[in-house]
Formats: sequence, C-alpha cells, structure tokens
Amino acid sequence: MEILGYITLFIFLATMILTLLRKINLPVQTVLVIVALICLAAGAIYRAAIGEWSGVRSLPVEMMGGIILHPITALIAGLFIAGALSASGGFEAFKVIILKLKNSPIGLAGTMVILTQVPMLASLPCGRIIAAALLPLLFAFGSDGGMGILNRAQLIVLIGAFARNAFGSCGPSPIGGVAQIGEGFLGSWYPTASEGILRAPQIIALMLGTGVTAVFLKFVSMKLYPDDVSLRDRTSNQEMKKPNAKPTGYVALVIFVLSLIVAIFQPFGKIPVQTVLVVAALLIILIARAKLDDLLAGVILLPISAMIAGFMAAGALAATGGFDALAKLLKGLSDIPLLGAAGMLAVFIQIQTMIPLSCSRILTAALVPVLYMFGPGGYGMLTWTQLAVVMAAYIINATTSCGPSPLGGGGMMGEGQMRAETGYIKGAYSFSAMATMAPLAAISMKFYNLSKFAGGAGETVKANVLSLAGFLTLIVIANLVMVVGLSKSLKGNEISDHRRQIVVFLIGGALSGLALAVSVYEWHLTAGLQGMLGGSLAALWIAIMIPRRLKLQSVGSAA
Amino acid sequence: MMGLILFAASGAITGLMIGWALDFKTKKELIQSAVGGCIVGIAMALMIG
Repeated sequence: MEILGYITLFIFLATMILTLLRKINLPVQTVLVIVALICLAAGAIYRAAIGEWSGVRSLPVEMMGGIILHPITALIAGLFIAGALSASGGFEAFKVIILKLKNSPIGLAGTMVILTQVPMLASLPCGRIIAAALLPLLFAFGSDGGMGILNRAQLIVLIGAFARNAFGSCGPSPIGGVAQIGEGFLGSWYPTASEGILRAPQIIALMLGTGVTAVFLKFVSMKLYPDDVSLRDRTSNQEMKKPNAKPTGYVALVIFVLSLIVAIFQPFGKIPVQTVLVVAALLIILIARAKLDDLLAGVILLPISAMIAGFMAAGALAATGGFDALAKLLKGLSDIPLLGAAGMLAVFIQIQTMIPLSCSRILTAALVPVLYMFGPGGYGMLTWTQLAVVMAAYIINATTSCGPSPLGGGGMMGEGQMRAETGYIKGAYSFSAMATMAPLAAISMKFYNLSKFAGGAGETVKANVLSLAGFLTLIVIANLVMVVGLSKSLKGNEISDHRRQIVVFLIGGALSGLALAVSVYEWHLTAGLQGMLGGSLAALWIAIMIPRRLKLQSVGSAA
Repeated sequence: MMGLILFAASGAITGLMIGWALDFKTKKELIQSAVGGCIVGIAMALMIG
C-alpha cells in the first residue's frame, strides 16, 4: 500500500503542477476525473496483485466517500438566491441603498471598506454563497455595470479584495466552517476549543490580509498585467443609469439579510445554511413573483463541477494511501538537518497555497490529521500550545487557498466579474495568504487567543499585548514595504519583472517562516533560520506558479 | 476589552489600506475608510464574544 500511495501522490502532484503551468490544456474537471480514474486503476491493479479482491470492489465507494456535499450544496443554494435577488430587483434596491450611504458620514470610502468585508461579517460556511450573490452587484458600480460610481482601477481593487475576503471567510465560520476541522482535533487538549479557538486569529489575519491584497492588486497586479482586464473606464458622453428599485426588490433584500442573520446566529436552533437560503429563495419567488427559471439562471456550473471533480481526485488519493505517503514525506523533511522541524512546519503551513485546489476542504480534511500527528497525540514533535499556533497558521492559509486556484477556485468568480484572464489575482492572493495571513494568525494565537482557552490540566498562557501589537505592526509594515518596493522596481519587462516578483516572494516567505518559528519556538536562532529556509522554499514554489503573462497578452504579442 | 481594541485597531488599519488602494486620497476619505474598517472590526469582536 505504501508504494501505491507514493505512486498515486506523484501522479496527482505531477498532473496538478502541469495543469497549473498550463502544460496540460484540458478543462480542470477533465484532468481531475482522469487523475481519479488513473489512481483508481492503479489501486485496483495493486490490490488485485496482492489478492485483495474485496478491496478492489470497494475502491469506487471509498473514492465517492471523499465527496463532501456541504460546500457543493451551499454553493448551489448561494447561486439560487443570487438568481432570486437578481430577478426580484434586490440588487437594484441594494444599489439605491449604496448611493444613499455615499452621502452618509462614512461616505463612499467607508461604505466600500465595509462592503469589501461583508463576506467575513456574514461568515458563511462557503464564501461562494455570498460571492455569487454580491459580485454581480459590485460589477454594477463600474461604467460597464451602469452606475459609474467607481473607475476601472477602483473596481478591480474592490472586486479583488471582496473576493479575497469571501474566499477566506469559510475559515472562521461558526456554521460548518473549515477551521472547525482543526478545532475538533485541538479539542483533545482544549476542552472549549469547539467554541472557536481558531476564530479570532483567522479573523484578524483575514481582515489585514484583505487590506494587503487590495494594495498588491493596485500596485503590482495592475502593473504586471495592464491589458488583461477588459473593464472600461467611463467615457465623457456615456450616460449612467440611475438605479430604480421596485418595492419587491427591497422586500427581497430584507428576506436575504434576514436569512443571513438566521444562518449565522441560528435563533431557531441548528438549521443547515442551505435550508435557510432555499426557504429564503422560495419566499422571494412567492413575494416578488420570480420564476424558477430565474433561479436556475443564477447557477454557474463551472465551480460546482470543478469542486466535485476535486473531491473525486482527493477521494481516490485517500483510498490509495496517497495522503499517508504525503505525511511520511513531510515527517522525513523534518529529519533533514538544514530544515529541521521548524523548516518543515514553515513549508507545511503553506502547502495548500502551494497546491491550490478548487475547495480548501479537499486537502484540509486529509492534512489536519497529519498535522495533529506532529503533536503530543502522535510523533510528539510539538506541545499542545505549539500545535495550536501551527494549526492557526495552517488553517488560514488553507481556507484562503481556493482563492488563487485556477482549477475552478473561488477567485475565478472574481476574475470573471472583473473581466480578467485566469491567473490575474493569483499573485495578490498567494502573497497575502503566505506573507500576511499565516504569520498573523500564528502570532495572534500565540500572544492573544491562547490566553482565552485553558488547556487540559487547566493550564493557561498569559496574553502579551505588547508583543502582539509589535509583531502585528512589523508584519503589516514589512508587507507594505515589499509590495510598494516591488511596484517601484517593475519596469514593464515580462521576464525581469517576474524575477523581481520571485525575489519579493522569497523575502516574504522567509519572514513568514521566521514569524512562525518565533511563535512556536520563541527566540531560538537555529529554529529561526530553519523557519526562514522552509518559508523561502515554499515561497519559491508559490512564486514560480504565478503566471508571468496572461492569455490576452500572449495573444496580443503573437498578433 | 483588549479583544475589542485589537479588532478595532486591526479593522482601522485594514480600512486605511483598502481606502488607499481604492485611490481615496483626501484626509476625509482616509478617515472614512479607517472608520469603516473600525466598524467591521468592532462588529467581528462582538460576534465572537
């Protein structure tokens, strides 16, 4: 089984890398299904060869067991309600409200900042729900969408930052969020972990990470890919449409907001978010007299099919021992003297940004048990406190990984709305997940959040506000300096600009690894250096995967 | 209380970064951005209790 695991893991990783590098030009769904079938065939041959016939028959069932229905149905429910809101005039009503807020004391600037972080405020179990419902609205703020209150550059930043916030909001969600997988394991030592031991670090990291993403998009992405967004600026003679909302639109909007409140605060007990949203959509149909066709029109098949295909591939890997092989490989990395445990952990926390799949749950479900094995419950490489710190850094990096995934990832929804080529947001999203969010989550857990959760023997860790404030400020400033510095160094040459970006990513990765090592091992020189090396290696991989140019550019240059 | 201040400050810094990236340049706009971010931070602090 061990050899089989290494073989299927190799097939999966090699195929994913070739697809990410666009060496395989097939739809991601096709690639993932083929990988799943090859892994299954390899598993069947192996089990047949060792005479395990019952194991051959159970392979397809084991693979299908890897399909997690929750995010799939949540996405469909979100798309349904988006269709209902659109058909009933709910978006028009929202536009009118936004225009009114523009004249309130917080102005357009404050309104846009709040709007960008609505997904985190809603904290739904899948960011696609709110993204599917609200991204069309954000598009409407530009001249192409008819309102013309934002220019092209502002719209790119707004949509990109909003999508970044959305595709990380599934982490801190208290209703089936991804972090709950980690909280379940930490519950072995922290009795109240399920109350949200990972939530505060996720939220702090996601908030500040959204800010860094916005800055990266503005100063780097727009310079690297200047012609790859087909949004237009308002022309002088272009007439802007004034939104005109019907009363049913306002009613639909109120139903939508109420459904979010019911889903988040659960005043009627535990009800799946999908049920709440479908009931809300039905109410909107009844009140606003929308048709079922309108709801179905909102359903986009690409992210749904990509997610199912991703789950199939992951299920096939799990069934054939691919993830067990990965755990052994990672453990082996820590035995390399240059890397050590600190370096291996610095790589581990970035692993999902290194292999960004369509839904973070695919790998999280497989890798959290691996991380747990590094703690006192397994190899004993980490104490419980250290495990909680690493878990915080890993989970935020994992939950944000569907954002930069070109394999049907959430970020593609944002790219679609900003009329950008696939890969446009990858650099910004990867950088913020790697250099901002992972270290911020680690230090927030270490210096603040662990003081609120007593361990098994009643042990508590004291909060250290000064250290927290100091590290938080340092990390944010370092990130801004790196982004602005990179922006200033860009010369418009595709090859040299890409190299400069790789250098900045290497620095960001090293600092991230250092911050993790300090959070886990405190001031320990060897661990710090090992963390920096591990972080740099992860960053190198991540940076190389970022496209040097996008499709439109290559078509243009070819022409 | 410490949590509330932490979230409010993080929110305000985030708001400033987003506002800056969105080309809001005047002092008033940047303050509005920071206030917007602060509101989000406080709301999140209250939600996690």
